[in-house]
Amino acid sequence: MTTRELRFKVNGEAYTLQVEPRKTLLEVIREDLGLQGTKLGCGGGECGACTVILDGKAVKSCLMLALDARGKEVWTIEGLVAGGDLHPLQRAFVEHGAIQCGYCTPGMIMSSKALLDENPHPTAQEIKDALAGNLCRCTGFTKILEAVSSVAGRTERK
Amino acid sequence: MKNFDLLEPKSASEACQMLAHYGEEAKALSGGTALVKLMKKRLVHPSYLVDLKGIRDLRYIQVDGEGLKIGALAKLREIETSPAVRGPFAAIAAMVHLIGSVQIRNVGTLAGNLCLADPAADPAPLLIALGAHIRVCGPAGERVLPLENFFTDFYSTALEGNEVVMEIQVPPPPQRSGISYIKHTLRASFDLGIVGVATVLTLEDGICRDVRVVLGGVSTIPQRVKGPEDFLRGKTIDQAAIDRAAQAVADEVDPIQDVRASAEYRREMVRVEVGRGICRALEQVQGRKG
Repeated sequence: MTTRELRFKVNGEAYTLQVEPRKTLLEVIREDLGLQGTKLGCGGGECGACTVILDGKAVKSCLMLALDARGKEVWTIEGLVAGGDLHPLQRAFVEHGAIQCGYCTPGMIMSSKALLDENPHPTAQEIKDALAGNLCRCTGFTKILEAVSSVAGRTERK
Repeated sequence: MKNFDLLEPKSASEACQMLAHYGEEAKALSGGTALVKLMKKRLVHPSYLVDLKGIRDLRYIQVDGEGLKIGALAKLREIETSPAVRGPFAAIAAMVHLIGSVQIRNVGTLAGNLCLADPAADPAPLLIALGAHIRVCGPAGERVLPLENFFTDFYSTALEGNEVVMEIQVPPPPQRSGISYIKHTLRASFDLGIVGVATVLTLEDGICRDVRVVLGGVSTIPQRVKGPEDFLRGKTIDQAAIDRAAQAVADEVDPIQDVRASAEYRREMVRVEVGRGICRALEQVQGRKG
């Protein structure tokens, strides 16, 4: 099978891989890079479990060709832990009981991070709009929104 | 997904040549949110993807003397947040905000949305009601067609296999116009609309000079309906006239039925949302008067 070169950065590290054009970014992240925090949910761009941040924007990696990430910078949930410390969003999700089965959580956190990086003081509606593409079947969303709200307005490390 | 070769033209004409050369085996790729999904489901299986993203100078959003011009590679999120899509064009940004979710809008393009031609898509009805045109490029050169003539059937457009979209053009709405777009969905976010209603209403001396109502999600293509034009044009708009116009539209349409809604539900929602759309457009134009 023909492969093409994919040079990109993931969580601050540079990678050069040979990938088949048909590989999605999600497949490359999980299978080639072994970063399994990003989840496969619906596979059709509707549930948001595959959300990663690409050049500062939240995207659904299951609908993105890996080669579309050439020359770009990807951040996954694994990239949020720095020096062993949880990111404030991760800590807030734990403290607010915003995690039940945990499957939607990486996607929720990445969408939230993308929001706060662009808009550090979102309104409640802006948080909902930012998370509209992330579905949760367990929590009923309320504690997730509370967790994100609690971090919004604080200007700790990105 | 079936494997494919990724081709990377540097110009629109090179892209057209590639599409012409590979014919049925090739598809054009911009954002990919629709195409990649179709390929994953094996509903389409091109052997070649012509990636348009390397073509320069197609990602603009600007206003000039002729109106709003949106390049084929402009992302939905860029349109939603662009300072150019304000003032007379603000309704377009408000409509784009209703499409999918942020993640989809960060990647998908308006041109791609129009080319997919999903019957329930949001942009087409509003852009048609605003009199938009679409400029496309093919091996023989460029042509411009009214967006109203772009959609031929569900998931089908007038775009030839060897053509690519270059630009969407929206003229400024007439003075004293109110514009609304209503998306009727089951949930507040993310769903495809069951019914979409775009309304552009122009008043002159308190009389309705023109009204255009275009529906999405009701037929296989966006549908411009005659009811409001027949009942409201040249008249003072009061609630009774709005109700008659909305009922006329409900009688005029022959709605599709699908997993999201029955034909009867769509017909009733058409009646309700056409009425609301006219009211909102009217409030908007009357608000500006004061």
